[in-house]
Amino acid sequence: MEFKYVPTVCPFCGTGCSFNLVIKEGRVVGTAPFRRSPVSEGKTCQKGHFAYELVNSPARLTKPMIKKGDGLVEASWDEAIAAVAKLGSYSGDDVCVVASAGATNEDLFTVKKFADEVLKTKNFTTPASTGIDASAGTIAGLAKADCIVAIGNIVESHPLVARRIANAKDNGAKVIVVDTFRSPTAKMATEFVKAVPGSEAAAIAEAGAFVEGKAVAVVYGIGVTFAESKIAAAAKALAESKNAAFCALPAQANGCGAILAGAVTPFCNAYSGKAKAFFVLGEDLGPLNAEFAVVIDSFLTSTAKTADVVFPAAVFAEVDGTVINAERRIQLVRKAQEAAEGVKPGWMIVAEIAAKLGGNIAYDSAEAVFKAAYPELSYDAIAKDGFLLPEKPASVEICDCDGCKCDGIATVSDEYPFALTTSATIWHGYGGIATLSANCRSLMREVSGMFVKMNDGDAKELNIMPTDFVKVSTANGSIVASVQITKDIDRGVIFVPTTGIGGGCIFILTRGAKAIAAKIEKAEA
Amino acid sequence: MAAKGDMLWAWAKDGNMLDNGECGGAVTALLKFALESGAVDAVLAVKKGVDLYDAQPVLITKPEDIAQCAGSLHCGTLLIPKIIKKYFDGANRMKIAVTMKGCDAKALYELAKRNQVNLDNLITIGLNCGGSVSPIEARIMIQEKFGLNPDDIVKEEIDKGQFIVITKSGEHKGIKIDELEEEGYGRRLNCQRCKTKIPRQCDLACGNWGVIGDKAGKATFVEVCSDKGADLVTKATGKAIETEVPSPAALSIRGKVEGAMLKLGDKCRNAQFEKLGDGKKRLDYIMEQTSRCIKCYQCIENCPICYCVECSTKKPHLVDSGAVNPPFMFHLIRYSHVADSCVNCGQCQELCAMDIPNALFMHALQMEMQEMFGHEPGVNMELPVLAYVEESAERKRLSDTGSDQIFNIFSEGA
Ligand code: SF4
Ligand code: SF4
Ligand code: SF4
Repeated sequence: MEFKYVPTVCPFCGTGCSFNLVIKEGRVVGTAPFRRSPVSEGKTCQKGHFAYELVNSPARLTKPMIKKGDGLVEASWDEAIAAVAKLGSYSGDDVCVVASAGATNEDLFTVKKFADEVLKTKNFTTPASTGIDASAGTIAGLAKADCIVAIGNIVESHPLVARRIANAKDNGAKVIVVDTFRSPTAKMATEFVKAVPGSEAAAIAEAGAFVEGKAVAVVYGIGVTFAESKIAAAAKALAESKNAAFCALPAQANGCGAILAGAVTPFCNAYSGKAKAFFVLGEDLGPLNAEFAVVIDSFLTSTAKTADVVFPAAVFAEVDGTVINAERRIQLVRKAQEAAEGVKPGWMIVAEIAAKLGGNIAYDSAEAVFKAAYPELSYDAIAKDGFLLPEKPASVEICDCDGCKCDGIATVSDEYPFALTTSATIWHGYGGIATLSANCRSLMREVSGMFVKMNDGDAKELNIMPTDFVKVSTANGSIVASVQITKDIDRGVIFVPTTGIGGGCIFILTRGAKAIAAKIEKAEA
Repeated sequence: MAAKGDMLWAWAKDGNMLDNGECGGAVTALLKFALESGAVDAVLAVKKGVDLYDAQPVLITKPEDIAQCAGSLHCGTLLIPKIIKKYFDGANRMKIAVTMKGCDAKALYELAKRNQVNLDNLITIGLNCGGSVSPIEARIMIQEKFGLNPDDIVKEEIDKGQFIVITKSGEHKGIKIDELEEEGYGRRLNCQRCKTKIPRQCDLACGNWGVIGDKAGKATFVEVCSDKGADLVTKATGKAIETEVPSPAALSIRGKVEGAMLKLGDKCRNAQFEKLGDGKKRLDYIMEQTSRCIKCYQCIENCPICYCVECSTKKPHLVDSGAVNPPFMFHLIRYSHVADSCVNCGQCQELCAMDIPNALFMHALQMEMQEMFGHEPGVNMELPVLAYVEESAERKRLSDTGSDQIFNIFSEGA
């Protein structure tokens, strides 16, 4: 009987924990601690632990699909490749290339080449393309800080970074937390600075008054709203004024890699409505309204459902590759099982599509792609501890497109009396990462749909019980959600996680805003 | 003819194993013999993963592959029994020879009591264990305390109260464990509290304590702990291993080493438990520490006592689904279900995403229950306390006395 452990990197958040995939008879059957991980020492959060469940999910795509009439039908690879020809008629601003920042460097590097050389567009973006690039120090090093300013709910966005904040606190450090509610991170604080939803930047400046110490670190968990760069700018200013290290943690597993691969066009671009055609790898942007769209994914996402051609991609456990975590550590993703017949790694699919469109970005292996991107490294060289890329000065660029500019505090009214705040839930990621968590049954058992946290007094006033479902609405739209009634959130504030799960999605409510006025009504389940 | 209770020195007959195996290669030779002779279908042992600091389980079915399994890896903190349960159907469909340290052996018994593993199909070769160090902690210790590059180390061992490393250029360096641990380096905290140094629950208990004279480093001291173990040794002698009866001096030295380790274990227990305080103070401390739990489930997933398919922590009427931080009830369920049988394996602490000292709490509770009920987990097949509770009688007692506690775990003082 074949039985082995294959160490690999978690596909979820930017922390970059590792675990072993347990292989029995050639199939992934579980995870086991990889105590040798320089990042997480064998520990993971629930997402890492249950990540194996998505690998052999029955929902996996195994065949290409082509749009016929109103729906998608299965097709052969040859038919699907033939069907992408139309993509070649789009270039420049007419096309938008979007990848998940959870994709490997190998995939991202190939997609970038595809955008540059084949589609001749600069429109290459990922959810990590927020204009923020700051990664001072190491995650383990945080435990040695004597003062940490934690911005956002890092316990849920980057759990194994929060562990280091807890370590620092145990060692006597001051922990200053800025958040919009008494989140699990706020509960760890020695000083909690509560921010009014949408005015996080002001609260960050306020937090500066509490900073003291010789080894100060400012840590920000980047989310996926259009306000991220503004918050990061305030965090950076605070770090600079206090001579502190500044580390902004990308939401998705390979956020640092995405930026290094050149995905620097702001993510809001994908929602600007300017592009006529889309080329999407592993990201879920919601339903597209495009002339033509090609999607590469492992699951039939809401984006894939509206595509013209869909290609089935291998998941993290089926590919060799690399990702770069929040501390700039390149780590090896190892192939643990063979993908099903006809399911291929993203970079290979991109190369095949490129060939059809007259380009040539074919490589012999994942490592060949890696070496093209990082000539001085090899998979062997990074096999044990990964490779820490050199530190560089933090940079934050604020996007001032129409979508981003208007993002600010929630202006509540009689019609929309609540200020909605949003950040990560520990159970699910955003976009392409939520696709992964939605296919882990243990994560879905805990949280299978959108939820809203609200103050117990507000709930009482609206006669809402913990078992109720509610309709949450903003000027943009509404979703149905379950409720979590709590004292941890102020009256007049509600929390909806930045995710899309069970049919609902934060984007329907916020269109990318970090705070917005909302209302809540009791709904039928 | 070997018999239960025998003590012997053993070494591999095969010259290659003798030279390259740990302490004369007896364990490797026995494992190989068990496989070759058809006594087992497979050997489950530990091998080097990405490097010396990465212990991986390995299932060996071909005798020629036996060399894969490493000598003692002190960074090998993984727990084998739950792997047998999870991935080998509890050894119900195959016979397996397996190597175990003390906490493995105790965990195995607890799983066997719960019908999660089939002891009849297992041959257990216990390895004396002075404690193990988590890999990354070991690397940091070697760097900071030994002043050596952890990647240059080719071997590490615990001997005569020292943690010793050997570099690729042959340099030996040892530092007293006491000294390391006082500064927060060294063995896992549960290992420091451990008093199962020679795992006599196994069929054979093997190690290098009590191997002296010209056999030092060239033989393994084997204590035969069961008839199954005796049978394996009898059959293997002359074919796979050679044996010799150790001198009385060797027995006494082995006894002294074990005695010293047990004494150290007691000292560490006292020191660590004392810090927890008593009664309300202890409860407050536990509640404060567990309040940062993120519900990663690692403590449950890796605990050898947790085996329920229908885990109570997953029942929404007891613990809200999806709530983070989970309510204290999450931890209370673990305490009430596990404390009587906790074997202090340390997994729930080593793997806790938020570094909550879970094993310390559970072990402290277990010790109190052991004092109250006299049940010691992991040493034999005796059932735990809760198994003796006669439910209707207990319910009547609770209603008659108005008490709501089966055991008063948090009583003030001793
Ligand atoms: S903290 Fe992030 S990287 Fe680590 S296991 Fe959780 S999701 Fe994965
Ligand atoms: S409670 Fe912790 S220390 Fe005790 S047996 Fe379970 S995992 Fe091991
Ligand atoms: S391992 Fe730690 S953080 Fe995870 S559920 Fe258990 S106590 Fe909570």
